[in-house]
Amino acid sequence: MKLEKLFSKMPCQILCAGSDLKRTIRGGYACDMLSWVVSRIDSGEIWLTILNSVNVVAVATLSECACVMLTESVEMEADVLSRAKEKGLTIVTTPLTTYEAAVSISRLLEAEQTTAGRN
Amino acid sequence: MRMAVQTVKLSFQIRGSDFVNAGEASSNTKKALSRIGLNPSVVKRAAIAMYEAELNAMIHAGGGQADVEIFPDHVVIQIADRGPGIPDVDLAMQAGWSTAPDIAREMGFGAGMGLPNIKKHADDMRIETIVGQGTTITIHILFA
Ligand SMILES: Nc1ncnc2c1ncn2[C@@H]1O[C@H](COP(=O)(O)OP(=O)(O)O)[C@@H](O)[C@H]1O
Ligand SMILES: [Mg+2]
Repeated sequence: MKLEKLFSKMPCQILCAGSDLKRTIRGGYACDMLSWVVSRIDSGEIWLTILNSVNVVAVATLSECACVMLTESVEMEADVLSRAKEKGLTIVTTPLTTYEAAVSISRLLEAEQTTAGRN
Repeated sequence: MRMAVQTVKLSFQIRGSDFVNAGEASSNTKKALSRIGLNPSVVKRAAIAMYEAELNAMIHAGGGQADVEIFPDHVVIQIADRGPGIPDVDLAMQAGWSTAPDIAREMGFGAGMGLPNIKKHADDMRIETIVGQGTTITIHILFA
């Protein structure tokens, strides 16, 4: 599923639109420890986290993840967002908890697969 | 006659406790490696290993220096600091072991996975450390 389509189907607000909203996502990774994320997240995945410091930008850039989704309505400061913009990252925030967001993404991806299978 | 091997050298200062610019050395190295057209998975391995070593110098050692030398078939990344050294390297290498301060933990650091991550992603990793004098981590990444 393309990022922009996913965003249109779940409650979230784009804080920083990155260079590639048409990027295809295959899943997600939920964790608030940077060393785990940088080593484990895949480039087609959305990173679900409550972290919002500038280090999130560094880790998302290094790991080339598809998007950072801040959960629990976490916001990001303007200077951090401008750095994210420089790096071409996409950052969104959702009022959902990390668990709810993961479930929601998973359901959307599954629903799309089922539809694709029927066609 | 042996031809001299041409290499590219990069050097970066790592400032102590500078959480804002943390990862810049790795990010710049990643760009340089991408530019020469290496396999993205090799670039990613190098970037992750270097990031962890860079962050350790920033968090645990009051800063340091990163030296990168790119050879035709591999890259050597060396991160050196004059920090407190690591008293027990075997312990430090254990997944989950961390002495990171609370301020670092609050920002998502201190998982105790940095050194294990370097080992996982590097083709070779060497730690030279003397308590009271400093630590040098040398990382080798092969391109093929
Ligand atoms: N450059 C360094 N200087 C001093 N101590 C270090 C250095 N690098 C690592 N250490 C020690 O090894 C521990 C484990 O490091 P690491 O696996 O990267 O985990 P973390 O950085 O999350 O604590 C650190 O908590 C610290 O005690
Ligand atoms: Mg570390």
